[in-house]
Amino acid sequence: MSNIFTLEQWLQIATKDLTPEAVVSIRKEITDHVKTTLEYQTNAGLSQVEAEKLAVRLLGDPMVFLQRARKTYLTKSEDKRLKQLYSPLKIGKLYYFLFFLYNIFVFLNLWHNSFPRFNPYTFNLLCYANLSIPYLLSDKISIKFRGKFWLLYQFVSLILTIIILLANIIRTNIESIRIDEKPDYFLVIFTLFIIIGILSFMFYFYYPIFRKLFMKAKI
Amino acid sequence: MYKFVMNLKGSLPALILQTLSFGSSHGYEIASRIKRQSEGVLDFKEGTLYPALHTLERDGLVSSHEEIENGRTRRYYKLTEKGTKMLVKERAEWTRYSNAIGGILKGAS
Repeated sequence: MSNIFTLEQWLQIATKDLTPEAVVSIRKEITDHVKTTLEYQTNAGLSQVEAEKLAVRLLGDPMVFLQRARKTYLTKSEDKRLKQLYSPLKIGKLYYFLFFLYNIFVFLNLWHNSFPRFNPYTFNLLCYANLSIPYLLSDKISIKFRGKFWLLYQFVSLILTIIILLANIIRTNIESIRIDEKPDYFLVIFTLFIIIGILSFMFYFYYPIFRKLFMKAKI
Repeated sequence: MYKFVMNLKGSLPALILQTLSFGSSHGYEIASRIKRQSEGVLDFKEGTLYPALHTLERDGLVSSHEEIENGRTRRYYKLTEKGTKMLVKERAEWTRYSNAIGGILKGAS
């Protein structure tokens, strides 16, 4: 079947849907492979045309190659999904918008209430979130690094969510009835925090898929 | 009459590792060596070698570097320490497997 293809046709079928990086790498190696086969075959007495046909035929069916290549290299759609994970697209934008609101209310709370009453864990998370966002947004940082950072980020967020939840439950038990004239944004902060926590948690449902993609992206 | 077809796909990574245990090599040479050493029995499609090689590289079993040869850039692969350990394991596994099959086919209990 494959002997009806020229090298260019073979390469086009064999690299369909793969990322440009994978296409460049495959093209380079397969072309070199075919050139070497051509050299050997023409030295052995075959004509240039016959040797070229044989060299392409020896590569096998390009569809079979593509099937295997899709398991090894990232496809365009997988690459897009990975970029969505690492960059603030769709759900990521919502995530950062919620963090933005969260920041405002935490600062309002900080403004109206004194430091000792302010939950230190919430403040830690605030610092952590603000410090980490530039890393996630920057395209200058490699996708590998952002990927690793994102995994760590989600993990720390989840742990902090649990800690803050527990801390607030304890605090609520101690100060079950509290009369305060100053505005307290605790409920807003708490709700936003829960939503952010749920988003972090949702990430773990997709983690096996992304892990597979991340492994492929290492090539 | 049935014709049994040997499935090379699963064994290809081990064959690549074994070929690279003789020294660094490029794709064409690896394919030729496998065919030559098996006396043509293991005749596989050469294109499939590259996804297998790149998977081995991703898993850290082989490493690669580019060399310029006759004005052409060529990628050479070599076995890593992890790859050498894996090859030892694969050899032992294959010996166990082939002994078991051999035992059955010879009719031994």
